[in-house]
Amino acid sequence: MALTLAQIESRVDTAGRHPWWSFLWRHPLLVIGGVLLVIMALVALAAPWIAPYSPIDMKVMQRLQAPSAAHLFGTDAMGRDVFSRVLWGGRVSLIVGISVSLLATSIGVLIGMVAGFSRMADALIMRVMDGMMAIPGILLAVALMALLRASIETVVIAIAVPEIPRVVRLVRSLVLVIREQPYVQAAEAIGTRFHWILLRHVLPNAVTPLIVQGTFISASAVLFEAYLSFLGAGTPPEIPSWGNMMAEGRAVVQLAFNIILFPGIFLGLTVLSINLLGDGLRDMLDPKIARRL
Amino acid sequence: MNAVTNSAARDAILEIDDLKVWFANRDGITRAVDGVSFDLLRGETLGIVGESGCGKSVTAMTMLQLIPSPPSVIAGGAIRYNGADLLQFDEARMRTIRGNEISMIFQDPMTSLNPVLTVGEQIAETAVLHQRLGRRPARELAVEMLHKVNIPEPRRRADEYPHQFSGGMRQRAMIAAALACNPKVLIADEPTTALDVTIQAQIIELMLNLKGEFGTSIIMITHDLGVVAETCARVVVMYAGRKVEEAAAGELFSAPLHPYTQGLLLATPRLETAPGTRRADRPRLAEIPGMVPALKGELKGCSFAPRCHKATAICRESAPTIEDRGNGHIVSCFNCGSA
Repeated sequence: MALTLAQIESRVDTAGRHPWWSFLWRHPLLVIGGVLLVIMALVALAAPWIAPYSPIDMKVMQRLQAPSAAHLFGTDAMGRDVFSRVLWGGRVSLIVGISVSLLATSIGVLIGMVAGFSRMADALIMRVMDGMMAIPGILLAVALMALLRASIETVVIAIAVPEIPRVVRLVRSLVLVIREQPYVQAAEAIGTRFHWILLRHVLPNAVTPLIVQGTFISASAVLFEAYLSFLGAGTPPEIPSWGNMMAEGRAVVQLAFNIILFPGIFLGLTVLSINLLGDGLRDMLDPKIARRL
Repeated sequence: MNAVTNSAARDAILEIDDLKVWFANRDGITRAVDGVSFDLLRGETLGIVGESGCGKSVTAMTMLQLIPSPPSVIAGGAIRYNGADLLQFDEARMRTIRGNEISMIFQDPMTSLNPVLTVGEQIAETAVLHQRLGRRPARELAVEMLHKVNIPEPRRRADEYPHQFSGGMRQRAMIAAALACNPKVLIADEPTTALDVTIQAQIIELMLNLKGEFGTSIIMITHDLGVVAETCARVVVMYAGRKVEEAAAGELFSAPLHPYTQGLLLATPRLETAPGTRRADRPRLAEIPGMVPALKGELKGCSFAPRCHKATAICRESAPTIEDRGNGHIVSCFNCGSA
């Protein structure tokens, strides 16, 4: 049976659509996650301009108000506007999410490369990493926070450290595969220096899985920051963060559940959007894995 | 009479002298290359043939010291390039040789190019490394090299990635990268194995043309006797890590001495059968009975003895020495008689 050109065209599912639509059609997770995350990020970035009240001004007369036109999300036990605090809290999550994934990934790449290339270092490094993975991440982070003075920077470090072993393992396994590739051998055969092989041949071929891993790390970092703050071991109480707000709202949850509910919704949506983005990136960048799943 | 005086007289650019490359692991020692000697003359194409696992590639990789050590141990011998023993060079000095003086192209063009770099960048890399060329001149060189290996529209193609090239084009690009610095020696490790016959012929023709243009000496490693017949002036036949026979290509094909070489030639399919012959009427290809021996431990006697129809008691007792039967026809066998 011969098909006419029109029939063939009709079978191509993207035919006739706008390129944006066909991208959405092929990568729905990526687009939904990306759009949601961009909205969250814009709202957090614009907090100083769009927040109706100061996030730290206490108005004792207006404490524990229910959501209203004046206070969209109500007020907390000290009379602070929950909506403004949620917006400002997003900045903390944004900073923590991005810097933890950058920090953990870059340190992990360095250590993982060494482990992948040196058998001696490998034995030592991987045992240390196994040891770190044996400690639950939240415990390790709480212990690190106990050692350090509470600030955003220390929160970032405390969350990044437990993430490092996972990156090291990933990078090490990638390096072990890539260094046996014929093109690495071919590069050696033309006299390429070792560090140049690392930079030009090994690293670029490991970037795709690292981007995906980095996205998931940043989702888990946002959650971790909330855990730590909720436990009182995270962001210092004078800085509004979603975890802090939920911790403070816990005592009065029977009177005003809105204090916990709204930061919780924002936290959930943010983590969801980053995870969707990560899944979408994986499907787009690594079609082989995507098809297998 | 002996090989050393011969090579001096014949202007060898590369001399492999009694090379032994062993692999040591828990189970013992594998003698992958066990006392191989041959010379590559200036401007010559030398073939190295033998079945899988006979030590061809290990010999080639050792010339550039590309085999990780451990597990490999160079148990003896020398590789002299212009008289200097490469095995004595340190890593830094070896890097000035690789790609610049001695280049290598690999078997599988599909995986020998880095998928994330453009073809042009990869060809230019050699020149950037060895001639300290800037970005622009290196790119110009890459375009020129692509043109020389008959890639149409080289300027556009230089900016494309390996997945946009076909298999034959990638092998051309590999050749371009290998020849970019005008090396004196090109080691081609089964350059056409992964390609179909038509492309094979094009690649071989290309290599021969470039050899004429650049004056490169080529070591052609292959298990395809057809490729050898088309390209090589002299042939070394290897079996189980040892050289069993060496001769001028014509002589090797017309009057092979070693039973293994004879077996290899008999096992090669030919197109000479009269047209119209039915499949059933064609003579069955002769095969060499038995298997390549495991190279673990010390082999007693001739390595080919267990599969050899001419083997006698002495073959199983002691290893035959390498003898020159005249005209540079060298064979290692007790029972071959004189040519």
